[in-house]
Amino acid sequence: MFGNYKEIVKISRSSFAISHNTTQILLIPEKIFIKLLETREEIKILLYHQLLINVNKLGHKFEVLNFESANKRFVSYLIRMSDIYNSTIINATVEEIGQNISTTRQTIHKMIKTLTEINLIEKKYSKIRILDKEKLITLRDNLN
Amino acid sequence: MTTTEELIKKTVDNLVKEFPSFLKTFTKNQYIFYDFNDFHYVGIVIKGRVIEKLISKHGEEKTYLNYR
Repeated sequence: MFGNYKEIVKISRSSFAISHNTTQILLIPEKIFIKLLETREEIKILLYHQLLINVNKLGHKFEVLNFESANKRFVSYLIRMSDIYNSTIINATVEEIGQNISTTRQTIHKMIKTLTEINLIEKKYSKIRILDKEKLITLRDNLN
Repeated sequence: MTTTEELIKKTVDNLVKEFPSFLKTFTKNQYIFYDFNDFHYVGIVIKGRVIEKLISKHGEEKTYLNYR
């Protein structure tokens, strides 16, 4: 979920989004969305669920400020995204990951190469698939 | 799938059935405006992925959050 729910959560939001690929979106006028929120419990749960995901992502951004190495930040990012979306596939370009963990594309390319060589991940286009999450977690815990 | 995920999926499925005219398809790299003039929208991604952008005071575009 994205868009203009600043009237609900009182947070100033951005004004547009860009489709990454062919994308289907249910664009609900804000007034109708607010009415749904007032009358339907499941819509409240939907909003809370989205806000929790956002908080989780922001939490990760704060962790980045924890002065961990870029390698550790990258491995942590993969694990966290996998946890958030309950999937072993991470949909993100190298550029997006770089913005998320505050490092360069070159560093991420190097890490992807290293992790691919030891069969922990594989990368296809803008998708990274985690092949062995347990080993990835162990690696994260052992990185500085 | 956990109970919460099932509930979220069911809620979104019901919203699509209830408001079929609100369902829009965007091709790659299309701009989706949701906050301009008197029009304000909440977008629920059904299929695909969007990247929300933050515009700084200086007009600079920054990726904010990704949604699937």
